Amino acid sequence: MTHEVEQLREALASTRRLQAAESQRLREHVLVINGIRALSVDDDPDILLARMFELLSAALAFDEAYVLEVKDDLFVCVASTAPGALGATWPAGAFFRRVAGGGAALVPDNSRVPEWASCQGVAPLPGGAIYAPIAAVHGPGLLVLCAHQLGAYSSADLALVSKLGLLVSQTLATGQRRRLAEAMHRAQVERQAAVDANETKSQFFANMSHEVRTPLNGVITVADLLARTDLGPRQREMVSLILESGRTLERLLSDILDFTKIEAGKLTLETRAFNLTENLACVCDLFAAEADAKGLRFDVRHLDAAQAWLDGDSVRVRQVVTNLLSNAVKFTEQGGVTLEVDVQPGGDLSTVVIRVRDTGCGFAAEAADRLFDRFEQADGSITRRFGGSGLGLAISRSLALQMGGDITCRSTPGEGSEFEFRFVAAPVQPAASAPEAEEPGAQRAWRILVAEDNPNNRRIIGMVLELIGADVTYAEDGLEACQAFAREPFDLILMDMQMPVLDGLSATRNIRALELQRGDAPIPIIVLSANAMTHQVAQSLEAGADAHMPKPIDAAALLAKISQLSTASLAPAAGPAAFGLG
Amino acid sequence: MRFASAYSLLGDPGRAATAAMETLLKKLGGAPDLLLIYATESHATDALISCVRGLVPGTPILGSTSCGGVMTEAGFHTGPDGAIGLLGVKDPGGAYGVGSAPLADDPFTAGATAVEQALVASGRDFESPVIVWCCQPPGREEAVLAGIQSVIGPHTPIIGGSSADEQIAGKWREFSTDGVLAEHVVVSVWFPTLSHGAAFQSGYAPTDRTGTVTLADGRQVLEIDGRPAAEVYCGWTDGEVPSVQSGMILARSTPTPLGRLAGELDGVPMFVLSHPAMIGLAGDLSLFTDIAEGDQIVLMRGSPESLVKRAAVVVNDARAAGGWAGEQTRGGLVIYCGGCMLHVRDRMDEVAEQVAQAMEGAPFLGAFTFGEQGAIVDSSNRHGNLMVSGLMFGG
Repeated sequence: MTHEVEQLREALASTRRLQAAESQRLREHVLVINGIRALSVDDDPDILLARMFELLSAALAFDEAYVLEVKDDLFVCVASTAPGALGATWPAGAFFRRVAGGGAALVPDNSRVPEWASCQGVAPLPGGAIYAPIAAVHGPGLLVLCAHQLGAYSSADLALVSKLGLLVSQTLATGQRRRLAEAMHRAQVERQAAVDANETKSQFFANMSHEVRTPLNGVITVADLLARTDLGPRQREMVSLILESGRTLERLLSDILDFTKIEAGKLTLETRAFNLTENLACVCDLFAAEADAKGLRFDVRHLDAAQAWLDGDSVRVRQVVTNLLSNAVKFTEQGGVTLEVDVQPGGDLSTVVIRVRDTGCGFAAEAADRLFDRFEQADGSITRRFGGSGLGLAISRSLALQMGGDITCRSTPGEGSEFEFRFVAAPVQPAASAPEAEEPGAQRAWRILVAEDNPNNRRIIGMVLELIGADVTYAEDGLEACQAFAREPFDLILMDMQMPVLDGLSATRNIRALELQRGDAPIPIIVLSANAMTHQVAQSLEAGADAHMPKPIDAAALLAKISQLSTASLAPAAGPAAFGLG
Repeated sequence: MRFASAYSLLGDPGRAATAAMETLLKKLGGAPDLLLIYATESHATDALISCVRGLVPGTPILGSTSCGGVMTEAGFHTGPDGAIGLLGVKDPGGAYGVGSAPLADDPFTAGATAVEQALVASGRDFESPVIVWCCQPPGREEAVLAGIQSVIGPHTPIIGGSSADEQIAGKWREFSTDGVLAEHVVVSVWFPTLSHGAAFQSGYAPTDRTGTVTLADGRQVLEIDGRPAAEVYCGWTDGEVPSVQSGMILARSTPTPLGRLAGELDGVPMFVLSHPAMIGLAGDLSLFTDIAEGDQIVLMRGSPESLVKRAAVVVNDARAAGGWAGEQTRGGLVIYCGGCMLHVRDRMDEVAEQVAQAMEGAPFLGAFTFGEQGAIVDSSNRHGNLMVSGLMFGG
């Protein structure tokens, strides 16, 4: 009987012991589950740590609790149940560092912990404490529970607090990752919005430029044509003013359009062979005349090497030099302007150095730093006095940089300035001379089909074509143009790019298809468009056009192109040369 | 954290130590971070510790003499020349330290001093260790435990056993890194990297024979319910322990110790046992534990069958408390009452085999002591007699 009783007691005791161990584990699980419930509601660090203290107080008796994190080699209290403890600091001693590194610890008498001896802001409770690692908001930290009673805690308590600390760490980390992801998303959205806004702005500028250019085209072309008629001196002066104002306005528009292209990263350089000296000749002539008009000396020094043929964007080179010379002449009242051009060979690429010196007002060194900033001029009054967009140098420098070079300057106020424009370009063999355009015969007027939706443009083109006595047929959209071409023979087509019903490119393709179907020789087609970027020119040529000319229309250039492309044997009533335009 | 055990039955302490250490080092693959040594009294010589230290000079050592032999997963080890048993703990991620102090007249201070030293040696001088394993001579264990708790608090399990000899002749000794010690407390502090579980129980059942200590002095019970203590106790045993003669009654009283209620575990009363050792000339009863006037005592009764089985029961309870599956047990220590061992000595192979099964083959070391320490019921640390204390690691 004794043996059976003993066995029963042993079995019962073992069962109870197991139950006690399970109860302890259950206590840990309950805390963790409650923790997950409570902590998952909000991962804001302050709220999270406050909830953690609530959970701990429900599971374990303590008198004070702290969350410390490392800042500048100190442990700083970032949350606490003890009033006034926030901001208290402890030195980052070996014990705190070990706990923060993952080694939870029980302390029977907290006042013996060395870090507390140097604590600023809180006095230690002379009782038991639990130290558990916690990944605080800004890195490794400590969760500290203190009691007044010596040796208050057991290793089971330590395990409990460590588990909650781990849970809080994970929640904080999750919250931090979420906030980081949100911040990144916000930044991406904002960046995209900025990109979109910039794109919209660029598109707006481009559209405005196009819209303004169209009537401006009319003003300049008509004024140009008017200037070539018989006018009295007073009228000629007035027309001259209209032309000059129109061209100034056109330059400003070009600056703005260029600048928006540069900002959008859409400005591309066109590469083709050109002769540097010849390319700059017309610019030199222009500013020699302007300088002469102001009573200034204008010297051009082409070193021998400058007679080079280069592969590059001749238009953009000319644009930069024009800007530099324009400024030099503009800001010089006496003395003169000197242009010096040199080419320094260097293997596959040559370095072109163009210096523009003047004896003008100059600028201070500190102004030089801002000179290439957009909308900057050395002196705010300059814009008012001399006009200009303030974009010229910014655009020029962007172009120089895009050409693999730069623009630098130096100046002495009151004595003058020197701007140096450098760029690199591959040396090439001289281009073969273009064959002389065959002079059309003189038998009949050219039959030209003009496809243009804008009535003013139709009228302006008509006036230009009147100069060569062309027989002009108008179409108001691409479809009408195709129908006209199918209906009657023409010598040449001028095709606007953007038109309702059927755009110019589609109309061009249709016409080429019809020719193929009929077995006709291809008719010269010149696309006219305010959109003259490289890819737009390429689109025109791919659609089957023979040439792409920009608006505003340069009457002389258009007539020259017509003359070049026309294969008709009939002579115009009057050739371009007759008007001094060829 | 890894464990390995080894033993030797060689009579020469130095040779026995060397042989066992070589086996241990081979199993462990290097020097342990803590070494426990239990050996019979004949091996308690300086040669034992010096040979061990010669092989593992940097390893902290603790242990004591064990009554009759030692026990490992290989069986119960005893022989005419005695035995030594080793348990090596290799745990580079943990921290361990050993300290010792002479009992002198102040066992409380000795306990406190020894644990302070051990903490300093572990590099965790102001922390509560996860476990304390202690060895001390029989006699004043309660004060030693109180001294240890005064430093580390009441919630760290203090487990161990009191050193024992063969004839209760005072030849028990304690071992530490410093050598073979007499009348010393040796304490080790553990900061292990594995989970642990501990259990401490007797396996004796209470009877209806109860009384109150009405006169006591230290470990001597002079009167129970106002009558001479030996007379009352012998009467409770129905003559199994005769009261007619004074002298040692340790072997006769083993099946019928006195129990004191230590607490209740969900309604099941748990007792700490006191082993009546001697009947005095004045009819007094000497115990192996302290006793106080007013203590409620009950005659406990245990059978040989229960003594054989309970070591394995304690191991299972300890593992269950740790909360891991049997096959995840990595190693452990078992303290088994020397008196109980003597009572079932011819069945000790069965005891060792059952413990080995409960350990699922994991290494362990068992010692037979004259007093056992462990945490009972409410996790408070107790000293008792006729108890089994188990400490397991796993997970």
